[in-house]
Amino acid sequence: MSASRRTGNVPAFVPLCVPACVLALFVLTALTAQWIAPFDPAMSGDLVADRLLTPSTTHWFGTDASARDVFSRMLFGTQVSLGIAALSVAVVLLVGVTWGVIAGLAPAWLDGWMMRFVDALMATPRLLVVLACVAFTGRLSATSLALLLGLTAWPAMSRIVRARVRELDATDYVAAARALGAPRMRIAVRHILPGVLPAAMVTAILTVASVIPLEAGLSYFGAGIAPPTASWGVLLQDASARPLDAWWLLLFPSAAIAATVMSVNLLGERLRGRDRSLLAP
Amino acid sequence: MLRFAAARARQTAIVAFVVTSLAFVLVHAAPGDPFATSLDENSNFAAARAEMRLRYALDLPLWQQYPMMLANFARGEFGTSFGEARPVSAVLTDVIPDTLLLMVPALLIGVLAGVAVGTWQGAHAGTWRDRATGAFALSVLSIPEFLLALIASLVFAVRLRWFPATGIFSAGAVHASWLDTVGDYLHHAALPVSVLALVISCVVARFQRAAVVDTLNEEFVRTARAKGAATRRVLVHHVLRRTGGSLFAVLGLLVPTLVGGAAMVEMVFGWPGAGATLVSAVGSRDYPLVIALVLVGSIAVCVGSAIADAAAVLANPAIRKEA
Repeated sequence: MSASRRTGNVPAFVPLCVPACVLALFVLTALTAQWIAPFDPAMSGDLVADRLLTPSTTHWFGTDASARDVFSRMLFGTQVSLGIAALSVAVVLLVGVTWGVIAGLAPAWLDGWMMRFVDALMATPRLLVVLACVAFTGRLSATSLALLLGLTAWPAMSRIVRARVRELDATDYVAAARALGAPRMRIAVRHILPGVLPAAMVTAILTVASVIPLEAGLSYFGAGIAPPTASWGVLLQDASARPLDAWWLLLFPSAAIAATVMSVNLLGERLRGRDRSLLAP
Repeated sequence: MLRFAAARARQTAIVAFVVTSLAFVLVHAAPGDPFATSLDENSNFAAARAEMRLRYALDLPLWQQYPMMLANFARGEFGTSFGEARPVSAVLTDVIPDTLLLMVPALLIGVLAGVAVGTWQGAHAGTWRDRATGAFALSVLSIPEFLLALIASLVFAVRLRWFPATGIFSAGAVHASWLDTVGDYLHHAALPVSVLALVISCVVARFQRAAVVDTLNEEFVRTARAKGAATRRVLVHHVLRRTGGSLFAVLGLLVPTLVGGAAMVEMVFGWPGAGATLVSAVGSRDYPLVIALVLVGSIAVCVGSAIADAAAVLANPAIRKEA
């Protein structure tokens, strides 16, 4: 079977460096927003003269209804959206890998209960749980939203990690380490964890593709992060008030979301397609 | 099959436990009396507040509250919605049929289209047509559902005025016959159902394509071909029968995500279903309604995935031992 046949629907003709470069550009933008933003993103300009300007050489992405520079708002929005994605993926990696490794090496009864718990969490609709928490706590800060998204996304990770741990546990080199009398902790950390990481990293990349739209949707419907912090979703919410006469308010955040998610999907699926052992169980 | 049903019932019970515990923790984590802060300090509301405290058993000692709350929920007594000023159960019976009117057609159209496209792609794997449709599906899946819905609404409802932008029936319309009612529903449902069906079909097509590509390499397919069966017959009679089981299994895993996407589509199109009601209830801090909708939604999702998994086992008995 040729490589292109195996990689699912991902067009194999897109070189791996294209999504990688797009993502690198977004990350670079996020890291340097403070220095490259031409205007203060929260500062209103002249409310009469600078309101809802079409994109121009001064305001590359135009201005919004409060006379703020959309390009600068986008730069800082990239920082917030990618920051939320990074933090929640870190939570997913930490909790998901730990849970998966423990379940994979635990005695059968404990493994059974741990995975049953994971199955139940996976059967719970994430959006509903996040909305319930938002209802009771009010609008969240970017950090707590990221933690919440991470804490609802780790079960898929732990399932993949556990399956991989089970495979590695049956290999000869782990048996050899055990025969040499290595303690269980050492086997887990030195021999099994390194073999788990490739699969975990690919899953982490694909998790970004689910976190970014979820954050954008929550913020768009006013259930996400609290203003004045601007993420891409918050920018879209601003745009929804006047979608027809100010197309630039809608276009740039939408394009940023679509470009990021598509790059992440392409990257993740291509990396996963390289190795059959990385396919989800 | 009986063991399988028992396993699924156990899983649904765990989910219900997790969600009700979450509700319990949230009610108690909210500062002070959760039902005092959300109501105006108006004596008219004192009765409503007392009723809520009774429903959630807040006046009892802590160890009695949780079982009491469960017992009330089990009887369908979720209290009174703050926002709608009527029993939550009445709200539920209003919004759930409307959600089904959106989800069921979208699911049927989406799965049928996805299976057709995915099978076609799998049969032509590696050709430019396969890659073009694959790229299209990936593009659709890279745009969040609410954004797709927003774009569709702006283009086809607001700009072109082909379809109404919101609602399930025209406001204040009196329908002369049931035919008019159905026509009005179809006119309103066309856009939201299409958006949701498009997303579902793209997801399904990706899995179906991969399954067909794998199955085409199996020996029984080669045997069928060697017997002289036409390509169409091989696909329909041999390949589809094999992939059906895994398709249902995938659908079972997808149900939670689909529910979330449907909620966002409902919200954009002002569809008076459970998802849009939940989002606005969150906005107005209508605690009883939020808890009831999240609980009912989670259990519905569990039942939905259980049905999908049962269908998977029926379609391919070989996977039963994994259940």
